[in-house]
Amino acid sequence: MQKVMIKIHALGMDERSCDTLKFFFQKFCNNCCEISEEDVAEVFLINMDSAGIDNELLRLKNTYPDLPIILTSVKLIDPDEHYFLRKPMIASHLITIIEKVSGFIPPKVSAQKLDNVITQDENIEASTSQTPVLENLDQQLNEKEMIAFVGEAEDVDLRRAVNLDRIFFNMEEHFLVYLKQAYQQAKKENCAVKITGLWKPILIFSESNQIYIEMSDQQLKSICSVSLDSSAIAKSDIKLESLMAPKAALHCKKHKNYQRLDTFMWKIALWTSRGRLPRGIPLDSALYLLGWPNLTRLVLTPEALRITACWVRYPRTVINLTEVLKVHQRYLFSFITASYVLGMSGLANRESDNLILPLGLESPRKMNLFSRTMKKFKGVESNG
Amino acid sequence: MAENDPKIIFTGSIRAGVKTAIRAVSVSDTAIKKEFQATTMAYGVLKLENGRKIQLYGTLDQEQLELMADILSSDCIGLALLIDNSRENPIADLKFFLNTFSDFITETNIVVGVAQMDLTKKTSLEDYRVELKSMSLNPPLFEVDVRQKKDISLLVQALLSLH
Repeated sequence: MQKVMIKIHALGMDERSCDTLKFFFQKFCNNCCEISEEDVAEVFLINMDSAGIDNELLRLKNTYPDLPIILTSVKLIDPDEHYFLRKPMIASHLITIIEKVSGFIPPKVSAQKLDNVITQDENIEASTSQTPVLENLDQQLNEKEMIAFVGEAEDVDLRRAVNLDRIFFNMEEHFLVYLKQAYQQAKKENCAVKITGLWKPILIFSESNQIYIEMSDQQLKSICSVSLDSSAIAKSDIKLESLMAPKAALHCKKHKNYQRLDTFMWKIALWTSRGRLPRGIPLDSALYLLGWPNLTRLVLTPEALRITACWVRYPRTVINLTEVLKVHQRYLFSFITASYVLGMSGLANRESDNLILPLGLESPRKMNLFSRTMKKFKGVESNG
Repeated sequence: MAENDPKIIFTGSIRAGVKTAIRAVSVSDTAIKKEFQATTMAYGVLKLENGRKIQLYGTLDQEQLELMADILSSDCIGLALLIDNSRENPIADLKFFLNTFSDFITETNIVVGVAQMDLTKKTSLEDYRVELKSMSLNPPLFEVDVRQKKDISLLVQALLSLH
């Protein structure tokens, strides 16, 4: 049966708002009404927040005394003999008014039908801990890269001291510590820093977030994977030298050898860590995470989003994070190391930082909205 | 599209690329495109690996959002705010949108994508972070190229991870 749509003429709205209203009628009001010109209108909808609209209201009342008028506003107003629809508009409120003014009952969407759609559409994994993954996320690592960045270490019982040796590495023995020092020096002195003593010099420009390096990733990976004492590079040969940035730039001949500094440091931290923590990071003292790392420009390790979302809210201990997140320890340890090297995480010294709130403490309103949404994601709601 | 698919609202400063961002991650759907040709809003549908869909709505206009309360009130995951770093005062833009959408942000969540950072570095991510923290917010904050699917995908995933 053909639907009869009530013709509504809207006043006090610009073209954009009328277009939006049109869409609102179509999508949320079950097509019970449509926008029309004034001369064929059956109902008027007037935006009372528009300047000079009172005169228009008066004109309409005089010209079309028998036609219903709906007033809409962000403020509560006395509608007098008219109808009032508060902004933001709620479709069901508009439909109720339309029913009143016309006797027209819009066909309701069958709840049963909707449920069926959901059930057919959803074959959701029951896992409640996974963030839904987008298709073709380009940054997903292949297996080889994954092993290079986060290692292959199995999880261990962190409460047994005998296990702990293998989860740590000594940062002092690795190139990473010099890189971190150079970065801090460049930031502190607001200059460029040159690192020598490796196969090729490296120049750090912290202000422009750039690093100039003539070594390949393969060479860098080799340097990262061994302690310097056991390699051909002597720790005593590594020197840091502060330079004025323009002078330092004279050493940088090939544009292609510039890389983003944050991306580079993150990568070096991962290659060095390979799923381990720097020795000295306590397992049972709270660590803070300052904010979300700029993950669109960094290697995205497994579970990085979940780790960040959980950790950034409150300082937590490593043990607490492993228990709450239930992710492989190597994923967590790699992330902690990389964020630590970038200066985004560290030991929470302040008393307030040590306050670790229990999981799930969130405003009830927000939780309701999200649990509803995420339940729907995972098919819980459709299964009753 | 199912009306009760979860929704994300994209908004942001002029030329930040709200429509481009939605296009970058959306699956093609001619019927939906036609439906939206009549409006100034951007719309897209993003598919998750598990087959579920997320509806993406884009607007620069608070009035449009006010008119569409149902979009905001039902199953909305949050707001993806895009800021154009090449504008004269992007921090002022950030503040404007945070104030405008403060109620919405309180009820849902927010992610911030900063576009055009390659054009100017006068405002850093750290500057944005400081401003957000002054408003007691510490949301996902990423540099984005709105044309890049991987950047916008990550922005959306970060929003999903906040539940």
